[in-house]
Order: sequence, then structure tokens, then C-alpha cells
Amino acid sequence: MTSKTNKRSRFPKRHYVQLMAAVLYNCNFRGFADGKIYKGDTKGLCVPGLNCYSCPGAAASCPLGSLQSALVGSRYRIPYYILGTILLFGLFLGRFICGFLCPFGLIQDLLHKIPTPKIGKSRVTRLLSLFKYAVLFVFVLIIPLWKLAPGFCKYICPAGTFEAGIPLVFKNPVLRELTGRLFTWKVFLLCVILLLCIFCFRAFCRFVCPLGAVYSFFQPVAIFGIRVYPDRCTNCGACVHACPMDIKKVRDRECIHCGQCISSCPEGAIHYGFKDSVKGSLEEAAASVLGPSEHASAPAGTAAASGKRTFGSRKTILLVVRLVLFVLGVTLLVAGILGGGFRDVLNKAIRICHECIGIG
Amino acid sequence: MCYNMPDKARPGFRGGIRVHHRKECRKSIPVNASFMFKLTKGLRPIILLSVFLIMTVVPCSCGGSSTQSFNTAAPTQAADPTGSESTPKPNRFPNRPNADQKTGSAKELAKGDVAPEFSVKLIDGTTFRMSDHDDGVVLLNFWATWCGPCVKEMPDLQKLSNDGIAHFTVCCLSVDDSASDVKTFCQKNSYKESLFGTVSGTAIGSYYPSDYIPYTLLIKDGIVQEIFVGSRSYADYRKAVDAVMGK
Repeated sequence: MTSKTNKRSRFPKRHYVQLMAAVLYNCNFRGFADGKIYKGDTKGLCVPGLNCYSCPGAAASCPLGSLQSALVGSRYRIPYYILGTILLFGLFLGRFICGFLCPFGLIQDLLHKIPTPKIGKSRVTRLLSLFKYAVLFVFVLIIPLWKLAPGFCKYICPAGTFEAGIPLVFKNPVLRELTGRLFTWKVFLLCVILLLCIFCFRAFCRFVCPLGAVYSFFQPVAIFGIRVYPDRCTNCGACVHACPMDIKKVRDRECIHCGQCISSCPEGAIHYGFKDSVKGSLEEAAASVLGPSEHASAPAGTAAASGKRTFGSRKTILLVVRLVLFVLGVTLLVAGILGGGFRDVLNKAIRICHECIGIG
Repeated sequence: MCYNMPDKARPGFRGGIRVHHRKECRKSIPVNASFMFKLTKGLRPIILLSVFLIMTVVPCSCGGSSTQSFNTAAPTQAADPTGSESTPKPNRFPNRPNADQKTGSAKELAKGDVAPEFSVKLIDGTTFRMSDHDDGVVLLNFWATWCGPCVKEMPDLQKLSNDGIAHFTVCCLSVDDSASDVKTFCQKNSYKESLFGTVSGTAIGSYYPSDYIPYTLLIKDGIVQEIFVGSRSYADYRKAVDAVMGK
């Protein structure tokens, strides 16, 4: 037993951070009263979380909505700006964004606090968590490129219906006349998802959200998030047991860095941090980068016993991967800005295609 | 002091999986955090938001300065007196808002309002001036290449234009940022370039404000007669045009 134990290293007020992010994203309070969207220059920027840019309060754009609109227009220009933005968000924070910086995540967290019988996680829910990758592929990539419509925003997005569709239809008689089957479908889907979230923790994030699916690819290399001290970890499984998401180990693709595992760890081995100062976490991350064949399924503690040389080379690989992704992200972002990507996102966010947000 | 206890003696020990006794352990675990962890303790939400703000403000300051919002842009390329095919007529409406000179009120339009004056260079190089059509009917359509409903109704607007109705003009102004996108769109779909222009770099958008596209106005003798939000069919537009022209 090591004497190096970790004090409570948990973000103390996660919901406050979520609330601050939600307010920051939607600080155009006048818009809610007027039923008009904000048209300032900040609409050319993307927030990290899922937040509809057609929301009357939204002061910036949704990365997923912008990505789809950009893909619809990709026959005219390649969306470097939005790709660079998403890459940098993913590289720095990964799915930490889902846990802390997503307003729709906050709504789901609050709904789950309603005292009712809850649906626990199981093999079925773990399997269902793969569904979001299908949603990402079909609705975010295929439909925008092939059918020239932002498929996820138009047919699924409950955040868009909740934050934009319903307030806009409520305040604008012109839009009320345009509502039809599509809007009815989206309101129905929103009700189903919200109802499900009462009984099942973060049902939308776990099974449907394509933005979470995008960020999950960055989990092994994300610079900030949950870390494990492998020399303290005894592989007891308390963290996985306490986690409300469908994780198999801490910080895998389903981990939203909510911090539930921190207080459940009897050894104090889990904490938030930037630095991969411990061999095991680097080992795991490097193994994920290298591929599943080299992925160590053994407890993190055993990783510490691996050779120093291997550790050093894997550490170097991870650093190189991060550096390459960072340079790529910055290059895409700069190329996008110089190529008019910022103005492109802005233009799409200040004039709304009503059908694209599911009013039709 | 659960860390000095054998497993079975720990509070909450259950057959192999040790369940943490939270309050006790939190008090008992000594601090051994990295320098960065100590430094950021208590400031983490603020640091997080600062990172977000930096990431967002930097592109804003780089791209925002050259950005001309759809609603607030200066009329840099709108007027083209040398390339104009027509000379401005005497203004029939003395207090008419003018998007080129940025005069008059830029408010949301309603039926019966005077259509604000503007001139725009079309994709084929000619200039469309609103006041040139004060003795006719204009169907003014705002659209975008990335907007599905807008693109869907383009063949209907083409057909309407090809009907050869006397004193009737169709003008489709794109809210796309780039005129080259619109030109490519026309070429790909074999649409008449003389119908298309872009409001990019002009103040037209702020004088014809709408949160939504497609946004179509039917203007007769300089007065707004009908406003359509959302796409319509050829039959709907033809019916409205005939009604306005008194057929």
C-alpha cells in the first residue's frame, strides 16, 4: 500500500460549471423575449457543447450544426475552420465537454434527479451506446453530403427543438404557419428523450449524441481530464461500479469525466489533471493510440512494472500524436479563417433555414 | 484512517470490492498533488472558461475584423455606376430607405411598406436596381446555396421567370458569403445567371431583414405586396403574381 494518496481531487461544483456554460452560450436574454435570434459577430464562433445556434439566446454557434451546414456547402468550399475547431476542442478536453460544458447534459442531469426507479447500466446499454456512431455516420455525414440537408438537426436534435424550435414557434406566428409533420415528429422525439432521461442517466448522451461520439475519438489523447495513479490502483473495480455511464475502464470512450469515480475510489487513485505524470495512464493512452492489439487490459498498476524503455517510447509516441493533432488543428483553423470560414459560419447562423431546424 | 487498515477492516468492505467510505477517507487522505494541481485548485472553473474564451476570442479578433455581418456590412461593392446598364430614375418615394447610401430606417418589412432602394451586381455582370422596377412587379427572393428548401424552389422561380410575364422580374439574392459559390451553383444547375446576385458585402440584408430563409417579397410599383417565409410551389407564386398584376 502506498502512502501517496490523493485527497479529494474532484471538481467540487460540476453543475455550477454546467450552468455557467449554459448561461455563457445563451447570454442573449433579450432574444427570448423578442423571439429573435442574435446576429452579432460572435455567432461565427463555436461553443464546445451541443447548443443550437437558432436558440433566441444563443450568442455563438453549435459545432455540430455548423459542421452539418458546412458539409452541405462542402461542394463549394472545404470546412477547414469548423473541422479545426472541433479537433482542438477534442484534443484539449475530449468528452470532458460532455460532462461539464454541455447545456443539454445539464438538462439531462437535472431530469435524472427526479426520484423514480432508474434503469441501470448493463450489456444492453453498453451495446446501445454504439448507436451514436451510426447516428454520426448517417445523419451528420451521409445525409448532409448526399441529401444536402443537415440530417441530425432536421430530423433528430432534441436540443434544437427544446432551445430553438419551441421558443421560436411560440413567439413567431409566421413560423407557426409552417409547422407540420416534421415539427410534430421532433416534439414527439424530444418528449420521448426527456422522459427516458428521467429513468436512465444521460440517455441522449449515451445512445444518440453524435457530438459525444466525435469527442470520444479524442479520449485517449485528450490533454485534460480524469487521470489514474496506477501505483495506487488496486483494480478493485469500484470506479467502474460507481460510474453511471457505460464505461469498461476509467477514461474510455464512454467516460464523460463527471468525477463520480473519484469519490468512489477507496485508494484515492483518480483525479483531474493535465499532466500524464504517471506511467499507467500514459501507458493506457499510448496503447489506445497504437491500436487495440497493444492495448493493455491489465490493471493500470501492472503497467507501472513494464519496462522503462517501452514506457519512454510510448510516452514519446503520445506526445508526438498530440503535437501532430495540435498543429493540424491550428493549421485547419487558420486556413479556415483565412478562407472565410468564420464568415461562412456566421452567415449560416444568422439566417435560419426553418426546415433545417425541424420546423416544417 | 482507512488507508492503514487491512482490507477487511475497512469501512464498507464487501467481498472483494472495497467501497469507499467517503467522508472518513476524504478527511484522512493526505494531500499529495502535483504543483499544477495545487495551483489550479479552486480556480479550475475559471481557468476552464478562460481557455474557452481565449479559444473563441482569438479567431473572432482574426476573422471578425474583416467580417461584414449580413446585417451590418458596409455597401462596398453594391453600387457600380460605371457598369450600370441603367441610370437612376428620379426617386418616386422621397423618404425611401436606401441600402446603398445607408439612409432611412432599416426595419422589418410589412405589406404596404416601400421596398428599400438598393443596387446589386448580378452574377452575369449586369446591375439590378430596385428603383428601375418601380413601374413593374419584382419577386425578390433571399436564399442560400446551403439551404435545402431554398434550392428546392429554384426551378420554380426559373420557370416563373421563363413564363415571360410583361413587366415582371425575378431577382434571387443569395446570403452566401461568396459570389463564386453562387456562380458555381448556377453553372452546375444551368440556371440563368441574370437572375442571381449576392448580398455579401452590401447593406441590403439589414434593409430587408429576416431571421429566416427562404424569404420572398412580391413588390409592385415599389410597394411590398406579399411576403413569403419558407418555400412555396410554382403554383403558389404564379397565383400571387397574377393576383398582384390584376389578372
